[in-house]
Amino acid sequence: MPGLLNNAIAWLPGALANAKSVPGGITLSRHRHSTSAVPAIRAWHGDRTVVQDGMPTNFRPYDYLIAADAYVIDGAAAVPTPGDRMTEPLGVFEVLPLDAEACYQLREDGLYRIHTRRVSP
Amino acid sequence: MTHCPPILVAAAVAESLSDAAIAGQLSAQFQAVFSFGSEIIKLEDINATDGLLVDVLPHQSPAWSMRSRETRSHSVKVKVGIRRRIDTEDRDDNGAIKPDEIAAYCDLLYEILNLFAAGRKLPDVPDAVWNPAAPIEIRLYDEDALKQGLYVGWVHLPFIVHEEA
Repeated sequence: MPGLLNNAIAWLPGALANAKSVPGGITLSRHRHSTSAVPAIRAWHGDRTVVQDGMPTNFRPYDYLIAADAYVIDGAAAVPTPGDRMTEPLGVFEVLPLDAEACYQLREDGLYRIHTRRVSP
Repeated sequence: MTHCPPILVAAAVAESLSDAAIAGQLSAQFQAVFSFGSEIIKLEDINATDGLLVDVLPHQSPAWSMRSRETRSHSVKVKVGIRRRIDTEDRDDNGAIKPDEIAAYCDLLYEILNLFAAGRKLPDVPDAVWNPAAPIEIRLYDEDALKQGLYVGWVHLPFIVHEEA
């Protein structure tokens, strides 16, 4: 029984990651530099509509989980920066801060949690 | 067809503003849109390269008074709002928005203000004139919107419409 549980515990993180992974990975770009097939997990935050002085704008925030050592742009290690772009089948997403949070956090497991907005279908 | 002065003036401002932009009298080309602010625009639908959204909204609380026994004066404000998505090209290598990009839209707000303050007529509402006594309200940018990757700025244009009672 303990063996079965240990197997499940070992299996679960990978299964969860695969379930939400972007098929084929994303293309990560900054200005004219880019890296393709970067493994990433995407999660939707739920739409938000902000009314600025009577003009409502809808934002679609998504978070990406990307291994810190995989955040490489044109061969050089990089840190998520506002304006970086993730391109994948669901659309184009731009790195931006979310509310009072910076645009990314480095988690204890070595993954960047990166806030983005969908900027193109 | 409405006879409501704030709505008539806002619609006329939208048309006049579009004409001025197309004629090259402003530093950007755009089609101003009359609106009540009810349409929700998606950030992803705002084209960052050439998509400048210009909304013209009537102020919700106009004032009016009797100028004489025969004439009413409507004090009308029209809000002109600008929205544009911040593009990656508008940022430096550290992700900061280049100041010149924001300054260009602040300039545009002043150009719009000066266009009407200089006495530009509204052909569809010939009785509307600029109200020089009204304070000018202008919001050059919205820092929260900038964090969302969006430039938002607006200016209120004050007019007076005299109408036979």
